[in-house]
Amino acid sequence: MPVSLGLSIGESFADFVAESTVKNIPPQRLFLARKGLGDGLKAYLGEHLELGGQILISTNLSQFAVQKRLGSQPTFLITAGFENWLKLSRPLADDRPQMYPTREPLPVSEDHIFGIAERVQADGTIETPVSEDDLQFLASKLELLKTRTVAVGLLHSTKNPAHELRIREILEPKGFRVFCSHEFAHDALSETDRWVKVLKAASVWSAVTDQKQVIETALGEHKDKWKIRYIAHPRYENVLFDSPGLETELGVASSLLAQYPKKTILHLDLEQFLWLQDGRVRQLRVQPTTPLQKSSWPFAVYSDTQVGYEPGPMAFGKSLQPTIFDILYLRQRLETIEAVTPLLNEKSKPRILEALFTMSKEIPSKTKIDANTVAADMETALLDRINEELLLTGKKPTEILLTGAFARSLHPRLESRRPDVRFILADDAEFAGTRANLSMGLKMGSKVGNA
Amino acid sequence: MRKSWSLQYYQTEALAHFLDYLLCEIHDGTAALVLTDGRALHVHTVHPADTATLPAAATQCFQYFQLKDGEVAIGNDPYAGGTRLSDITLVMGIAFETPGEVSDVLLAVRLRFPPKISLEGKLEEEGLRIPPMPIVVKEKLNTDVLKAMAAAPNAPIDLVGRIESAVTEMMRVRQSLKQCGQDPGNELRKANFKRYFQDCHDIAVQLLHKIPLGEALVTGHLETGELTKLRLEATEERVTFDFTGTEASKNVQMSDLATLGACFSVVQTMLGQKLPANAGVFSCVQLLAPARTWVNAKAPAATARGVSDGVAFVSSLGVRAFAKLNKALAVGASAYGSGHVQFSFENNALVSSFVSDVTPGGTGAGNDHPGIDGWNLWLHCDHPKSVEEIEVKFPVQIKSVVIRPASGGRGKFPGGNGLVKTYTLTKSARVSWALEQASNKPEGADGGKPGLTAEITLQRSGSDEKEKLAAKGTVELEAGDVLRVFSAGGGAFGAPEPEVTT
Repeated sequence: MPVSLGLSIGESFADFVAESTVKNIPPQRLFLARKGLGDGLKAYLGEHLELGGQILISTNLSQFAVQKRLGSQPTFLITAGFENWLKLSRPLADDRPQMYPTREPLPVSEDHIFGIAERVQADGTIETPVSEDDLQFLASKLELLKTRTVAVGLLHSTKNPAHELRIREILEPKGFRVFCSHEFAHDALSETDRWVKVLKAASVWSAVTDQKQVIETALGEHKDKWKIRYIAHPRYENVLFDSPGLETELGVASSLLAQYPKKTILHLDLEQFLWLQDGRVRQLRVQPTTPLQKSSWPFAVYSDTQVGYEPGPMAFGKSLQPTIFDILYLRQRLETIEAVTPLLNEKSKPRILEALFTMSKEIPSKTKIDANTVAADMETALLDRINEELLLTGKKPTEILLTGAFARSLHPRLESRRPDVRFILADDAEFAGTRANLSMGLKMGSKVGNA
Repeated sequence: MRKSWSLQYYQTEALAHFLDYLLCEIHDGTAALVLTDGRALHVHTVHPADTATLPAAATQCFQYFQLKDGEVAIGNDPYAGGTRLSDITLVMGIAFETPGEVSDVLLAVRLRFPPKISLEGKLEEEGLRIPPMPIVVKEKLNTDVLKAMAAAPNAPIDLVGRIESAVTEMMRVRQSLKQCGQDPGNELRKANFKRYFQDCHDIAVQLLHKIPLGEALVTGHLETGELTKLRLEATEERVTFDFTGTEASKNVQMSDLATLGACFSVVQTMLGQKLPANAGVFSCVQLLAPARTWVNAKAPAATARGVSDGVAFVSSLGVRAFAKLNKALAVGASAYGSGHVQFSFENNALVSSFVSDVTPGGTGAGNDHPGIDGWNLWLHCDHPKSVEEIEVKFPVQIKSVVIRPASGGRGKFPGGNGLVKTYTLTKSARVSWALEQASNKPEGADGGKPGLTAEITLQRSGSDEKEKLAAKGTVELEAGDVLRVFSAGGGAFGAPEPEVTT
């Protein structure tokens, strides 16, 4: 292959790392709100575009495709009598005690849920056969809705998938992409967990298909010279996918685990903080865009949510809520991060400090509160939160490999927080995840799975 | 390292956060770390009744067995720190700071199995009673004892497997705590605990200032008519829940510690804040519950209904009392009953099995919120998780679970709707049920209309007639019979728009 391109696509950033037999191409990062993925890819490849090669993609798209309603809206077909069941089974969105809690949103619009008159018993026996006439009628209804993807979640389909498969047989020839819940039944999931999974898969498939389309359009007339493959979740043991869906979840973690087997890795990247140990992946409780919020304490604490980079952290001159990103900005930890520096707005500093000061007014301290000190405290709090992950494993690693865009700047701070653990900065730590995509893709290129 | 904004509060918050994170992932999040003198360092629960009972269970086990580092004891006595017999507590001693085997803290973990209710109010009918006993000694799990327990006719399904996996989890937490000893920046030090409790107490007191001070008296009746009297007193330092005047009940009963947990849960809900649950904060909530009232029942009273419907009843009453102190807190009443139904099957002459299920009702609406459909504010951890699981394990089929239309009260903000759950049997069984709010409608507030009451109907196989059953009872069902449970709707807030007639 003349060119091998590792590509990490997140919600807001895309990282490119390439190897070419012709010329060295330096890594690059793209802020997707400023430049689209297709244009960025075209610009990055430049004259290499016509050489062709392979593109090895990791994306965390599956983590936000449903929430951001990316791709086309799926339709959900469910055993009649249980149309409300998924909604009723949703957990609380927020575990604070409150009189008016809200459930987590459904992964599908309620108007797109249809009951199917059918029933499979717990032993797999068919009690009420699915009606062919009903399905034909349903197909015309779906056409009117302009549905592209259909998720099917029938009771006991893991015991007997005949009805789910029959629905697929009828709908797929009519142009619908059908996802069946019995195919997502690993780990002995309950029916509602399975249904959430199949709906997520349908949404992600649609979003990834759109994403792939963008890439193919950017490759233009040279499209056929390129092979586009996706890197999957570590569960898939380093198999690449040609047309993936849910399998792409945490793809970069898979690459890092393959690249650094037996290492404990702390991946501190722009969009996600991950802890990788013994082949397992854990998302840290704190993430780069975790906001500060008021709590029962007389000062702000990190919340359990993420706000992402749209409209962006306060440091970009937008938004009103300080995040971890803003704290790191105030603490001058962002200056060496590719593509991020031009986005930083010097004028935002007093605004962030003011927000921190306002949030800290309730501190019953005799000393005068100083916003800069609060920022320093919040950085220490961040290090404490990261350290908690290390403690919670119950198995102390002797050394930890640091990767990701924040790895270099946080390295000395982590070392001083835990002097009893050796922190090692990975080579080219900032792009280590995307570089791992590349080397894993080169290594595993022959193992291609079907989504 | 840190010497700035109220250093001590930061360190306290860091410790509270760490303990919460440590415990939240253990077995459905029901776990506590308790000092050997009985003070709760942190309790992470999903059921209100666990809050005060878990530390008590840990302390009792320690008093009996002086658990050393790594040793584990088991128990489920509702009157020795338990809640109901189906909730089993494991307690482990952990030495994380003191060299040697003397425990510094106790880790208590509660495993929740499906509850069995006794309509007669007899504790022995509610499951296997396990007296406190050691099960891990010298790092060895006594599987013979566990197997003997599991062989008892009323033992929960998969008892041994779940205990084994819980013990493994507890060992991991023990290792994490031991690691804290090697982390110079960690706040988990015995020397810090006094300050930790005091800081948390101070924070709670500051928050209590947001609650209006004063006294309020509210009363309510259980479905079977027993009076419950609650006098709430909120001072600058403490909230007292006084149940003097409350009657005894043979139907709904629970221990005072379960009641205290419900009261703590109300305070948290009124504040809208998750308080660090430890001895420092608990000292701000006081319970006065005369013995032998249903909120402070004594052995051998059954507790399964108390720990579900009773806890929710007390919590709802607490909310009403707070609303008397501050009208802005007024809400329509929520459906507090769990809609508990229990099917018992005779598998053979010696072995019987049972399955219990609940159908939550709607919540009450507030001055700017409608109620929520099919949600029990206080007992959502007991909500059924899977239809398939019930159908695979037992000869019951759930035909449908739908929202009960217009069951929430009408009003400016309507109450949440209840649900209709329809069961049919594939084999004969005895079914028992106990509904709350089958005769008392969940009231609306500020002119809002009440929600519909709970109901249960039976339709015999081959018949079109739907017979309405009493609020509580037992009947024999044959295969093909259909049972429908209608849970109550929540009360509305504010008068509804007048209907336009032409």
